[in-house]
Amino acid sequence: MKQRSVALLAVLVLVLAACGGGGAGDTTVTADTGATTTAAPVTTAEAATTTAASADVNLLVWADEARTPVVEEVAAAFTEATGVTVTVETKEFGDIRDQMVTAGPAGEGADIFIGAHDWVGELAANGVAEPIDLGAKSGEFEQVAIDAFTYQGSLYAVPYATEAIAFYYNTDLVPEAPATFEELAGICAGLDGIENCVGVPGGGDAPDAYHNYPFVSALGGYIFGYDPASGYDTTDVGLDSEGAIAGITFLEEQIAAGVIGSTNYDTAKALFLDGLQPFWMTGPWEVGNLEGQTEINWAVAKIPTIGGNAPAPFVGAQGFFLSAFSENMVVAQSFLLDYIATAETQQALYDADPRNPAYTSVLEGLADNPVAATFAASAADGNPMPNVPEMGAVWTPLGEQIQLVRNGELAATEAMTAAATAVRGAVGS
Amino acid sequence: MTTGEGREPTLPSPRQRLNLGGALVRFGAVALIDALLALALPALISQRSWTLVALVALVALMVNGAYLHPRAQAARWLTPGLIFMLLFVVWPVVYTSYVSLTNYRTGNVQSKDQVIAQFERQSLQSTEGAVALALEVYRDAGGNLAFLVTDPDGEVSFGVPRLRSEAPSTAPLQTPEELGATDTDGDGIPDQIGDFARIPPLQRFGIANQLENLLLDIPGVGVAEVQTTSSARLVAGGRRYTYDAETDTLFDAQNNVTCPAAGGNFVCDGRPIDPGWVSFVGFDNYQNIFTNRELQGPFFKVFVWNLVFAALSVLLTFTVGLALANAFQDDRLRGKAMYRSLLILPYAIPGFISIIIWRGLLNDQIGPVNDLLNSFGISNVPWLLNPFWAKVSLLLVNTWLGFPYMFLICSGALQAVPAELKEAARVDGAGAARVFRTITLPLLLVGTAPLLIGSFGFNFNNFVLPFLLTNGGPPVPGAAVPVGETDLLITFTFDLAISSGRGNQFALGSAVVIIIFFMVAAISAFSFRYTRRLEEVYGNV
Amino acid sequence: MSSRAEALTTSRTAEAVANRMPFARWFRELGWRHLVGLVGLLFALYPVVWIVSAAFNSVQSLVSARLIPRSLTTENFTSLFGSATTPFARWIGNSYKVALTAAVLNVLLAALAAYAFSRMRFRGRRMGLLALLLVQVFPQFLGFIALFLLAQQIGEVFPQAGLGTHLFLIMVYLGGAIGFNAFLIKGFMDTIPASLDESARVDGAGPFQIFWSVVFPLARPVLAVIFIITFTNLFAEYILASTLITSTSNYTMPVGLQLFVASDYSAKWGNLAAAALIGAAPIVATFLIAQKHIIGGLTTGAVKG
Repeated sequence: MKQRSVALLAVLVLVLAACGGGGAGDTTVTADTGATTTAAPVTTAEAATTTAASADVNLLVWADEARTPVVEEVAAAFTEATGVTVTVETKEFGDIRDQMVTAGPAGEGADIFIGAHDWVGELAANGVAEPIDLGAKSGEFEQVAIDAFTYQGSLYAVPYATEAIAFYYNTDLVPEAPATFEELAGICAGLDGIENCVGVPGGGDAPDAYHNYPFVSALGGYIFGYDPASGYDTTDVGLDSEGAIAGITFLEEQIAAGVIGSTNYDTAKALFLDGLQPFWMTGPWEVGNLEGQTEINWAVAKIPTIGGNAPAPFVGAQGFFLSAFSENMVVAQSFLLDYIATAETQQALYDADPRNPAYTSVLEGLADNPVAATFAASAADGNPMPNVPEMGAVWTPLGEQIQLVRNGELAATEAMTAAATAVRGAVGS
Repeated sequence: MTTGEGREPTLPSPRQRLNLGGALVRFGAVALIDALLALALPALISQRSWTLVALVALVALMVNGAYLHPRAQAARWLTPGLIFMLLFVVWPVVYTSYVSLTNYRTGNVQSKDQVIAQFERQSLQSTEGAVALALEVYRDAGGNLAFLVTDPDGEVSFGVPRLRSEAPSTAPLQTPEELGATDTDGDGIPDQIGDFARIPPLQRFGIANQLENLLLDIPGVGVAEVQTTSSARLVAGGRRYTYDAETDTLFDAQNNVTCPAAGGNFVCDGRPIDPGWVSFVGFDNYQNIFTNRELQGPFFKVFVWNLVFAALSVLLTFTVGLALANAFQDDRLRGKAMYRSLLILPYAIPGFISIIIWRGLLNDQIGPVNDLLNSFGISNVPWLLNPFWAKVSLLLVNTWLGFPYMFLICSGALQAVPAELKEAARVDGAGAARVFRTITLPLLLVGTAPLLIGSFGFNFNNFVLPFLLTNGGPPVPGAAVPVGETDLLITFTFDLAISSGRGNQFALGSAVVIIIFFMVAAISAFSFRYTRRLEEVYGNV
Repeated sequence: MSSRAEALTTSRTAEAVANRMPFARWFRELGWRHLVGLVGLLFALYPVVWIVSAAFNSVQSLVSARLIPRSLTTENFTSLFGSATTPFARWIGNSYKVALTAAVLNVLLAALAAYAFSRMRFRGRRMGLLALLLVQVFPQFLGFIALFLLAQQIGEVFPQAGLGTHLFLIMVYLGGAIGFNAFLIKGFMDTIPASLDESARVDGAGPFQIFWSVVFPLARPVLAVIFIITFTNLFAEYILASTLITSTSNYTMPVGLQLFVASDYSAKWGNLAAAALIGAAPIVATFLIAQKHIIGGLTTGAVKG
């Protein structure tokens, strides 16, 4: 996401602490630790009848609040069938990465944890996440979700959701959403008593590269060059490419025309909820808030086209990771493949928190839900956020330079050139 | 300084009555602390956390020395506080210094042993990737396990697996048919193959940890490694990487290259591979900071603003606080108590909430402050958006947050200025302003100097205010390193540590932190020396 | 003259009437003080008035917030306490527990150290005092890598004081302010006449008895102030708590609020304001009760013989 908010501090602590604890005993599963071999008489399984697991086989799962109840239910079923104890701990979503990076090497992390796809590069570089082989099951998921979690040729998580931003509009003010951005200027000019026309986060006092990415991508701009076979090429920075500059120049024109104001996330949200702003570009996580209010009537559409092109929003994906430090790899993988990567669990995850499902059959079941279908369509048009660790060097400069454009302090060309230079400088070093 | 007259620590006099009881309590307490520390040692030693072992030993030494040594008088009073300072302030400084000499960053967070173990766990991959296999597990009367794997084409292999650490077997496998397979329940999976009986899938969880370390060599095809209790994958061979401790190299059998260890990573064909480990790099990070031109410009700019911010914060809060305190220095004034109670309100509200409230109040579009200005005919002020106004906002909010503290301090210190002195000056014909300037203010400054220096130190490293109010913004246009107009060194460092290069640069951030620490400490030490000279001139208030 | 005086008596404040001072003199001696006070109040209270208004305004969001609410409600308070996912009452309790314990111990330990610095002469005394202050300049949260590690290691041996526990947070807070507080208390103790110690010693009191029954009670004003300042700071402390406390149920109020309310501040404006009032209440109450003490306590020379 745009920035790593407050949890940043924790990151610093956590990652470093991991190193400090480095001297701690090896908790990694090494190849030679299997003391009991084929030659040793195995009595546990023989003695066992219905439940076969020995006491020391147990799993720890870290999930965020919204998913904990579902995971707990699945875990109970797993325990009943296999005798393996599964403990589910609730964590702040954003804290999970940092705590895995620390606690994992120290042997205190979870076996399975929930996370976002743009963590993959960092987790893999740190050796914290273990590749997962979905085998034939990979075909049951949306391709964009699988791509999102694939890093250097390996899949790193069992996905459950994808998400991308779209275009909310206030149906009291505008009965129908425009299909093209070019129509917006006329619509905005014709509305009285509004504070702002299109609310896009990332102006005002808070940078937000994420919400402005559709303007980067609309006319062919990109962040890092991508090749399906070899992944992202971080030496190819596309922020000052012709397409990116053209896209941000278009954004600049919309600002000058009064279509897009210098709103930050909060302002855009507050203005939309108060009926003072007809359009709001943001993600499905606000659906709950909108459904919970009665002030305005609203609907959601795809982001209008720019110069005839559909702007690609960033697609984020969430999934279940496997820890490289798990001492119960086989059990953990059984849990992931046989209990998480199933239609029932994926449906339950959707029901608990209606995010755009990554599981194709669950997604297909939503065809008659216009909001869900629109967000799904928007995600289908999107680009996965690059999952390379180098993205850490992109968010701040890109968000800040666009923020300056949004506030009318800097021209598009200069902003994008500066952003590209900053990224090249940081990635090259 | 007027203090209690200098006095040597006295040895306990024979007249002291509570000596015995006091000694008992003391010995008991020391024994208890020793016991607790001794309890901690084995665990710490087994964790090989030597720094903490040293800290524990130091604490034990301090406690025992202070309370058992007969001549250690002052130490008895200082030790309890010192222990906490040592553990929670001094040690963090030392540890941060240590981190700044390493390569801690994304990609280098594990120990070398852990990294090697991770590499050695990886298997050789065939070019087209692993093939998914169905897995069945069998066991004979002697407890030996056997695997039956089926590939997507229905090709079946059966055999006794080996341990991962053992050499690959090249012996040809026998088919289930050759061994005699029976499928009593008719589900298409043999229930008995030769001497081996099938373990039902759910019962395999009890031996899951054994399965993990077993491989089935299928001569001429590859190696099957267990994935779940009912699936395996076919890979090209056993270990991909082998570590050789003697030469400190990693051999990559897949690409047939030897990768020497250098700078915290194994380097294959000149390219460091992930993951790496934490290693000691000396002063590289410091050198980087002092020689990196892109960093120097912003660093200097931020440093100057940081000094201005800290100095102005102290000056503004002190001036406002003093002005108010001075105004209320008259016993005839009605409503003093009410004024005071209301004026400390900004101090009473938890700071981080006030900052967020201010952020809302100062919002250029929907903020009440601009609404108020509009009603006076003043157009919107870009409070948090424009470089100048963002700085003004930061100082404004900081003044609001900090003046009540200064107000309280000045109220107290003003009362302490001896009335006779002022009276004497007045008799000499000095006006009120002159009395204030020549008598009150110097005495006040001497009395409050340590607090002002403390306030400067705090504001120099004020993280929460810029973090929550402006997040360092607005950004400096076109900067090669992300930097904001209201960034302080500490928020700048923070961004640097998390958003430069790939992922996080904690060691680099730590180096900046240490540099900041020494700068502030130097400024403070200088100020203390200066105020001591003031004290000598004016005496202690 | 008389007409002017008459006009004044009707329009001026109570003192002027009572003292029958001419306005010019009244203004020179007292009036300007009120003027300064009023300007100060305007500055101090502007956000506070907004907070109070928003806390009782039935409109939650910042956009439609008005200084004079159209309708009043206590919903902003009840919704803070009513939510199962945000146990606000529990967080407040945690904050009290941590801040009170840490502040009390902090004052005690600092007073002990201050006594040594004030009453004893030992090698390295001046250097020690300076070192105490300089070390304190290091912002503790920057060392949280080390703190985190320490918490993990302590947790291995004493889980009750490990990572995420209040006990560990309290210990960290103890280390954080002792140096500075000791310095302030020492300054005050220096002003307590040593002759008092001497007479106690003649009566046969040991050093600890002198401290406990002579110096400590006399230093009460400064101790009270330092207690209140420390308590106020710790009650609102956010950064260390947010890194060292990891579970929702153990959060202190600032951490909980920041995560669940402040991250969405303009939409939850009312909740935020209500929380600000709740957070401020104990400190305001303490100030009102102990005002005299506090002002006196900051006066380092107040009891100077």
